[in-house]
Amino acid sequence: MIPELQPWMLLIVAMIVFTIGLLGVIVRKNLLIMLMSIELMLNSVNLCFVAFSRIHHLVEGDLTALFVMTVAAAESAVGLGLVIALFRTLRTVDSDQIQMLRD
Amino acid sequence: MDSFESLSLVSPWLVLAGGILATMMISVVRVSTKRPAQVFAILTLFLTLLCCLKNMPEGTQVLFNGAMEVSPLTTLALALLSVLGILFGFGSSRYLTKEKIHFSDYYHLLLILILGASILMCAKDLVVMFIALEVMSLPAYTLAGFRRNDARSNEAAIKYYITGGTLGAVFLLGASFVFGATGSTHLADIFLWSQGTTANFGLFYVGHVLLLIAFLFKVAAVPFHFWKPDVYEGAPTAVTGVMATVVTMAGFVVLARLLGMIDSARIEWVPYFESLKQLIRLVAVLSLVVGSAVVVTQKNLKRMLAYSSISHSGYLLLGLLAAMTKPELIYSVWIYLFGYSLMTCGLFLLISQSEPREDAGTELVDLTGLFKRSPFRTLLWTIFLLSMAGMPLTIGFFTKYFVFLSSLDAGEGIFAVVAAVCAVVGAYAYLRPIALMVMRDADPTAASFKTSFTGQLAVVISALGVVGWGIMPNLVIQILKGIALQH
Repeated sequence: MIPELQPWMLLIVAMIVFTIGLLGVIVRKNLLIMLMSIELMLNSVNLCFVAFSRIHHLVEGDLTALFVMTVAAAESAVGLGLVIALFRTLRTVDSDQIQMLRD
Repeated sequence: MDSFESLSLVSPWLVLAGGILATMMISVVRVSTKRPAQVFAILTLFLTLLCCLKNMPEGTQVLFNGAMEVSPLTTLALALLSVLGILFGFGSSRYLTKEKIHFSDYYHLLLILILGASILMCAKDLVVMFIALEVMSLPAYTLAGFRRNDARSNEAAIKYYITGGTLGAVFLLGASFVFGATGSTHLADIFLWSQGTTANFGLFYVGHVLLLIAFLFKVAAVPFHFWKPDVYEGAPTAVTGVMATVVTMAGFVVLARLLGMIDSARIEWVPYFESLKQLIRLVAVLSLVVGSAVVVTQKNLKRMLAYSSISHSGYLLLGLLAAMTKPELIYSVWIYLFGYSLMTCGLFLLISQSEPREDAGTELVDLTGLFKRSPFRTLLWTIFLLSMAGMPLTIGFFTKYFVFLSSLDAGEGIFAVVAAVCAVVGAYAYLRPIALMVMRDADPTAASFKTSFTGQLAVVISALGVVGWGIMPNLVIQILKGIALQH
């Protein structure tokens, strides 16, 4: 038998997705993958907000998720633009090869 | 409060937002590198400044169902941001021409950044805070990469974007935990919740600390500072100046708000509040020590100022720490922010005007023998560097003095001593360029500077501010103390 979906299960999924996103930013070397990981983190937070607003029987959490989606779209557009500008000058999106600034 | 009155309270923000739309229209209608966008942006900032001074609120006013609050502090801070924007707007036009930066886009994004920072300072709701944070950060990422043909500028933008984006997500995660624990994102409701109960304490604890970490990253306090020197070095110099002043200011106002999120007077919350103090203590001392120690070793002026701003974050955190014990001591933080942004603004304008090569930031050696070539510019450099070092008769002395004073007042004397030692070590780093300028002979091959009249004027105005406030500190300090008492 499949158990009924509970809000705390959503929270666990959200935490797993957030961890994947955070590890993606830290571990992966491809800038595009890093952008995707940031989006993953933002989306997992959306899931968190929705789950909490189910627990509290409130609507604020759902609304917040909408705001976050809008901002996330703007943010990824800017990020992609920056990656393209970088690719034009350096011809690479590998973060290991982007090391002109250091002590 | 009737709606007309609240409209007049937010009128500076409305003027600024209207000016942003107008500047955007201009950049659509007339895509050129010529003046109209600059004139329009500076006009907008002037109008915002006038509106701020005319509509100074009396006491704290809560607006939009508690999502924002307008207080004398926020309006005064917006006035200061407008002044900084005007100085940067006048001072950086020749730099923009030299670096072939698109005028209208630059001024448009500069205005959006200032709007985001000023809303961030008013936000009383975690969601509004997040949106304002992004409104401030997105232009900052873009501006950092504005020298599009220079790979270092692009690298700085990407580094800033990746850390900033990750931290935005961390802030949101914290906000969702706090929402889950308290059932609200309004800071006022969270405060009420903290007075009634300590239920869901664990969830709230994690969320609150995540929120604080996100903003400690934004102000680059020490374990969270690694991105700052790279971003400062790579970004166009005029933009670095904006980031150093505007973003730092907004970051510390929000940190003060986040630390005051719970009712620390309640006996149940005292142990938690003490552990928060330990966190701030640790971060403050680390920032002071690392910032002051590393600033001495730097050879690039922009990198040097990045580490210098990390140590300034340390002083500001000491001020916040004192305010956690006695709330009225927050005035030392406001004084520090106002004075610090004035002198940093002048210093970055000077660097942007004296960059000798097309592509590079100023190295320290480029200043060698400046006195022989241009005594007046040497005088300006000396004023700002002495102010950074905290010499009396400049504003830099009073900013540090009040932080020491409030640390002693709050019983954190040992940290005042640490800060004083760090100030002495840091002073060496600021005096070294002065020695280079005055005591060495000039390199005959060095390029001469060409500065525009308005650019020179902007630097002179901020120098007059730094010295004038240093000689007559009482006026502004009384105003800021009054604000801190009301807060």
